Amino acid sequence: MPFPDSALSDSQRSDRPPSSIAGIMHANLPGGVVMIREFRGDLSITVKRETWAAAAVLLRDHLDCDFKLFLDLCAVDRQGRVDRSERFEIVLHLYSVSTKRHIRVTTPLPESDPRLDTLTKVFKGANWFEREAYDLFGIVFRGHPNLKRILTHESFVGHPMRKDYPTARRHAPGKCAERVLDVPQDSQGMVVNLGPSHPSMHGTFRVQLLLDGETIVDAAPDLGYMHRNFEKMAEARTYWQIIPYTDRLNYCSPFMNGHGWALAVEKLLGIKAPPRAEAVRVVLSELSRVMDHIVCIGANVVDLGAITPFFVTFRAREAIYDVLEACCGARLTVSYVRIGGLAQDVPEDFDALCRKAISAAREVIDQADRLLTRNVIFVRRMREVGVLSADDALSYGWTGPCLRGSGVAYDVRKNHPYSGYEQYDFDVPTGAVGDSFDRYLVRMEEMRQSLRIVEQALASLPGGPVIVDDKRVALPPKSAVFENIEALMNHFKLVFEGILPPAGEIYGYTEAANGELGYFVVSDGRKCPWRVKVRPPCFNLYQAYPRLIKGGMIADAIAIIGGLNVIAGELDR
Amino acid sequence: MKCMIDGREIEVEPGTSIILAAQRLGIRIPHFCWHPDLSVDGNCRMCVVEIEGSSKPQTACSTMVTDGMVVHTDSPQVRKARRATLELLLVNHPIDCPVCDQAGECYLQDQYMEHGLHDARISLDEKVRKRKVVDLGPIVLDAERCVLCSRCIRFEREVTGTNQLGFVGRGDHTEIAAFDNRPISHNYAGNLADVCPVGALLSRDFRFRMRVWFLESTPSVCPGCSTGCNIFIDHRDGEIHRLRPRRNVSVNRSWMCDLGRALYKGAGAPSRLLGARLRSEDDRGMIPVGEALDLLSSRLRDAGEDVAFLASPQATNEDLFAFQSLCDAVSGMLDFRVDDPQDRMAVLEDGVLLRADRNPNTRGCLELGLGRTGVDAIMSACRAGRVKALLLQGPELLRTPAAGIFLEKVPFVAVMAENDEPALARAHLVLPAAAWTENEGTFVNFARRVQRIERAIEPPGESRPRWRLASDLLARLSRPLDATTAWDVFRLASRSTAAFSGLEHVSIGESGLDLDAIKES
Amino acid sequence: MTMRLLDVFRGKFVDPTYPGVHAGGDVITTRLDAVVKWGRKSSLWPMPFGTACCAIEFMAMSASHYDVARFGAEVLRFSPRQADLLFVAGTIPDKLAPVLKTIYDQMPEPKWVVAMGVCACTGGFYRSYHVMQGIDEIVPVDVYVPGCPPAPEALLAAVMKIQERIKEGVRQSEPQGAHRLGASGDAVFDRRARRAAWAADDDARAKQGLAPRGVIAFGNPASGVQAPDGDRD
Repeated sequence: MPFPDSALSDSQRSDRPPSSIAGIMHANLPGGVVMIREFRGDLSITVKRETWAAAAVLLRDHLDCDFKLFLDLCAVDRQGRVDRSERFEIVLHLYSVSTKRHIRVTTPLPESDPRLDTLTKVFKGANWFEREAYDLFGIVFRGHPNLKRILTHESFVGHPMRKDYPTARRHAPGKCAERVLDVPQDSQGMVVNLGPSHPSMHGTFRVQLLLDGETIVDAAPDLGYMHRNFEKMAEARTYWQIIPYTDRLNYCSPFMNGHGWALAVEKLLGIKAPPRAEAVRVVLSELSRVMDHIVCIGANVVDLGAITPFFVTFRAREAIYDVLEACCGARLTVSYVRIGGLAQDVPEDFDALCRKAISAAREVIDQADRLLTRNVIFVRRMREVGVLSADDALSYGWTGPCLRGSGVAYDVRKNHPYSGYEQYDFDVPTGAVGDSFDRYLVRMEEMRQSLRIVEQALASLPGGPVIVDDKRVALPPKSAVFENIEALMNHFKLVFEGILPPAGEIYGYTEAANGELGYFVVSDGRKCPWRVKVRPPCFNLYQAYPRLIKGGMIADAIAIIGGLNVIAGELDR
Repeated sequence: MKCMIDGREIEVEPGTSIILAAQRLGIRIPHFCWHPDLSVDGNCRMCVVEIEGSSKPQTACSTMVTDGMVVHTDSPQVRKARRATLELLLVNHPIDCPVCDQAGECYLQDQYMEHGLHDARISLDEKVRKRKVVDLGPIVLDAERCVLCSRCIRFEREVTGTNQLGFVGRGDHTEIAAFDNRPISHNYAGNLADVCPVGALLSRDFRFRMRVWFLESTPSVCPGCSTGCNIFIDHRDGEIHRLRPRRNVSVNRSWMCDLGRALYKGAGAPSRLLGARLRSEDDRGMIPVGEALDLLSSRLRDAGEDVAFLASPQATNEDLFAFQSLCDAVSGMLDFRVDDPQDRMAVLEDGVLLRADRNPNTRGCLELGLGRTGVDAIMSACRAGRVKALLLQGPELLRTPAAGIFLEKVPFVAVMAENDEPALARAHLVLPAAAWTENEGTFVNFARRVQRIERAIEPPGESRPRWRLASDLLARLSRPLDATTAWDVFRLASRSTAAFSGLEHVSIGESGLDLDAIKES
Repeated sequence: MTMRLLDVFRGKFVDPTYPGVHAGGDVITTRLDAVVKWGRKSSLWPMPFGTACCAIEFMAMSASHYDVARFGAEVLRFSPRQADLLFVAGTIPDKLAPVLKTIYDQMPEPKWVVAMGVCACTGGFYRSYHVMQGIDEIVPVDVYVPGCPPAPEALLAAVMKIQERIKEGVRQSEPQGAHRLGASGDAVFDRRARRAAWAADDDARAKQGLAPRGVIAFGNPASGVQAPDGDRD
């Protein structure tokens, strides 16, 4: 039985019907639009490659479109599914804060000539995404200022995300790349490496700095030191098997990644998890958000030299770990979500454990607040440091606390509520200046708001099942599996074959701790997804890093990187 | 006859069943007892469809299309009927999935997900118990899992004519049984496991070997004899776990013989040659293939026209064409007919599929014109010492008892072989060849049907396909073949061979191409 | 009970089972290397090479709840030249491999390496084009800690195991990863190559009179688990 097309939930609908955008595109790009389709509420426009840049500019600047937030740019290899003249497809995702719409723009490229105009002049955030598409697929972007590999190492040969590249073919790495930054010949400055093994680079980032004394003249980050090929692995895994991989994306708040993935696949299938499951997901996601912000702030201040808040706030993390461990047995890599709900129901003392976690969290937040917020040293190190204006933030594709720190009040939970967020009463804090201190304040307040949400969700936790009642999606109860053949066969088919969603592509998005975590999933109707692209919020954040630190001092660079909360698992996937 | 199925119109010949007509429209009607190559029984009731004008649903397998018939294969009534049929079929079915090989290719599992999805209404202790793990020789019978579709009985009756299985008992206690539990004694037992839609009849050889959802299937052709049954090679991570038939109405229908099934073991045998071997006074060690080819090409050059080539009817047409080109490059003697396989090519040994010629490509050798000089002439030249270098495409000659006498006076004998065997000691140089599962190419069967094989796994070690060995030798002799893949070689062959003229490998198709039919058209 | 500095020298807190230590009165007689080992194991200075999720559990271990300071190993040194215990916590992709090797080389002797998490042990569930299938491809590993991520308790057990190794005086000096035999590259999905390599390795070890790798003799307390074939101090 095929999955039916879902009814659009009201939150996914926007005020502006899609046809007007289509009309604008047709009017301004005559002959450029190839196809417009809508699937599960996603509007997707395919344009000819010659009109690619023009389409992007149009969507950004036209008053009725206003798609100023650059979300994601990726490539899809459709080899075997279409003819060679359209082997690659470049996919661009944009968002309009004013009209509250997402949009997808795609263009096909032939195998023999995979070249396309760059969008770096249109959106600042496109730079690294295009490098990634070049690295992994071999797409050449004409006019790109620095089209080099970004995720794989320098001695890598081939384009690994192409379908004909064997999954496990490695290449021996040479030495670590010596020079990442373009240093002019006559420069008197000193080139210093910050990372990848550095206490405040959190293990795996690297920035090469050109210094004039202590002042940073130029900077260039180097990524890929945690490139673990989540997307290639996802192409050979069933939708369930991908859940553990999602835990390891942003590993400071693992549950939220799984939550986002489950919602994306549920969107593709056109099903909804039952209310109890959604409420529990909200509780655990918000507690995970608190966990993530604790790590961010804790690690940030450790870099600045203050160890005490780290030790103090981590005790709240242990209380939250207790909640997760009681639910599913694991502290960090929980794999607790399932497509259609949760793996199992919460334990009986769930409410008590959560309240303990809430009170522990409140206590440490207050303590950290007292230690830091009016602390002269902290304020002086964080104020006026790393300022990014709202316009630049949108162009880079910033989302989450960093975007809100720069004054743009975009929160997916408010604009496009999911999992029942519309029932809960909470505020979304925004900053005024857009500096590191604002980002810190936003995070502190967000933690308080998250705890508000958790309390409301616990108070109104509905009863009922925790997994959707659909045998094509949910495993039968184990007692039935051991008792009758129908449940056993059902279990077998679901485990070795998995869920078979309809063919199509969707973009599922949630408000993760770092920003909008998106999953662009292309399904061909079979048990494994054809393509999964994670829209990692910190990829966009880190891209603005050189801009933020130029002209500042090294000490400021350290303060800024902590405030961005770049998590390598999510950055490099 | 015009009819409408699910709102789509189709025209069929009279006597076509609804299930076949639907198949042509791409509509899959679930079934158990129906099989395209067996007679229609209509006992499972799973294929029922709604026909306008009939009050009850009718079985699509046994109802012929009439003009103007309107059929619905997915109406609520049909769905209800299917669900009920499934439920009844599962009433006594044991909860065996974890220990049943059929999981992954089981009709019950698949159809439950597509058409059932119901809850069970019967408990374990109410189920009827029957015999399990009955040893029938190459087949293992588990009577509890049987859905009484009678496919196996009809197979025994209609295909092999051996009638070794039948129903015993009545009602709930009906079972499949062999008389006195005697083992299945014909050469087509493997088809019983294929034909059974559930795990009641399973292959003893494949039992508990590998779960089928891990297997990748590559279409190919069995090289066991000149029939050329179409098969699938099921493999995982470079290991072949079984061969099973691929349906081809012109060659083997849905069947293959057990001797062919057993051929999967050859590719992974420990005796595979992984490198070239040169016989020398002190040791018989491995040498790199490049070095071996250098040596061989220099011997061929030095020998001038006193060279002989013996092709193997086990090789693909591409291997043969490259070999022939090599022979032409040095103007040597050429033949393939060791033990005269062409005389046995069309002899049908048991009336079903097995043929007396145990080579897949004797006909291909004939079409390409490799029977040139005559084996006797070559052998007498060898005995007279007039052959300075002899290149064998396969070890057939070395295995003959008189080989020692023939080759006494030949100073250099080289052979391309896949597996190590004592007979290879008679050769001076052994080149490692890729097996048929590691090579792509074409065979021509006894009835002049050209069929494609595809590569399932990579050749191990340094072994490579025979056409590549020949092509590397030609390159060293400065007469390179304009070909990088096997299909390039086929294109070259099609230009110079009357039978293949105008053909490309894509035009051969998945079911092969009848060369006689092309000639006529 | 309060401990005073001189009590240490009075033999009041000396482990009487420690080899070479004879406690009595105000004087301890012992061997120099026993004291040195005691000092080393009680004041390990870890270098946390934390890359991924395991680093978070490592941080949890260093925090107050699990408190690695009890073992004297709370002085996290981010400079390899000041560290003696390298904790590789997280996946090491190929791009990071030369960095890891450099860090390892920069550490002064004696040094120990803990591979924390399955990614560092064998690549975890990332059998892919950019991930090292275990750090022992390039650095010798003294203790492998399986888990994804291992709980902080497991990590504390690893610290204790390192302390045992120090006590025994055993250190790995060669990367053990060579025997993984075809678990990398194109051959990773070809079982024939790996089976053949394992068979050849078993044969080679049999010729030397060794049991096949990874054999644990259960139920035989005398033989027990094989000690790692490493250098002895």
